[in-house]
Amino acid sequence: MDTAWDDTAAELSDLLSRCAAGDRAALRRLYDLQAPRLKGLALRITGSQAMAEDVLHDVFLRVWQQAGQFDPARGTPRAWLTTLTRYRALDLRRHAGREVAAAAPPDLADESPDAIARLIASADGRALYHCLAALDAPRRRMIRLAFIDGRTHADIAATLDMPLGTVKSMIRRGLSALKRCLEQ
Amino acid sequence: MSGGGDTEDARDTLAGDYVLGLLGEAAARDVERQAATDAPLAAAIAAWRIRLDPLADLAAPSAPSDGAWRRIEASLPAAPPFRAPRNLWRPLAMASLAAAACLAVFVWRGLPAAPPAPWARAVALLAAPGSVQAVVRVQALSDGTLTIVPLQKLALADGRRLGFWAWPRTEKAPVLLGMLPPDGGQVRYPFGVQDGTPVMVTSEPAEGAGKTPGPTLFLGLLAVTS
Repeated sequence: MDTAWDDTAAELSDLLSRCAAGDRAALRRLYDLQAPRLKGLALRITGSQAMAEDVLHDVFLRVWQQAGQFDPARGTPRAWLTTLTRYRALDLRRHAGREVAAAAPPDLADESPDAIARLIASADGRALYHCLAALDAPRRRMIRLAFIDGRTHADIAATLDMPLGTVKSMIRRGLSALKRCLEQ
Repeated sequence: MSGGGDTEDARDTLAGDYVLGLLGEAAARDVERQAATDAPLAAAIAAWRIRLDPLADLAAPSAPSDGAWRRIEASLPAAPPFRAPRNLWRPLAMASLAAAACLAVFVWRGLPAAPPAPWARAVALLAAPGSVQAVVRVQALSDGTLTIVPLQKLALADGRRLGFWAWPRTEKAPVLLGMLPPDGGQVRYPFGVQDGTPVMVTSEPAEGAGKTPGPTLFLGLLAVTS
């Protein structure tokens, strides 16, 4: 896979193995490189500065404790950090009993130009952007609501006022179209 | 795959739903349990994680507060549980490398020209499905081979042998690269080295592997390093 973050992927892998060896400077470097991105993601999901920093704390502590067990079967170091952050943010939001943020941007086109610029800064991001753009707007919106805003099937059905079964099958078709497009 | 397109689609949909975070907690746990014994499902999940990861960039980065790092640092245990003195031998290794390089310059003229040693182009750490403990290390070398090194003794049931498979993006199904001695070995890899290629160690019958992989023992993805 041609990824624009290949350069950083190698550095991230190296930093993780240094963390596993007890090198605090490596954890600090990893923090400097990734904390703003991960906090931003946590903030988007939890909608709270304080909770986003709790997520950051828990994620970096876990990285320190488990860097040696980084599971290559779960993807690249970057995707691993994203996964840890999303799950932790969703957990904290759930435990806080917090309602999902009321106003999520309705479509990719309504994401800020900066957000689009970040997405298309990598070759993988560009490919994903083009393939998302090829989906119809409702499917695109559902996939984005799920991944970036941490919504479940039921949340999305309620947000869009659609039957659960319809939401499920639309996402299913959307994902398979997305995969076909990315494989071309 | 022998399961046909429908099975593959269903597996992929499940993996996509799981990675998107759409499943409820109980359903998500079911998928994790299933992935522990179903290597193609585990690989599909890994592939979706990589595919969708760029979406995380839609969230605007947010600078952590000044206290955020101090809080993390204060929570760190004195030493991580899996300490290896790598940070100590690193500088030593570099120093001895430098010394070797100097020596090499002095003896260079006297030596016959040797072909350059192959370098590692990608590495994968293989873990049992559902586990996070790396058990086998695979390196893709620039000379078109893969070296497979068990990081612990690989125990096998009687009458079983280890198979070694890869699933390059260009192939419709996993490809058997060879049968593996329990202490590892080297196989030819006649494909382009690509990030995210699943590689797996399987349990195969004594008479050799069939067309599809036996039960997956260890699975990992190649990460391109150079």
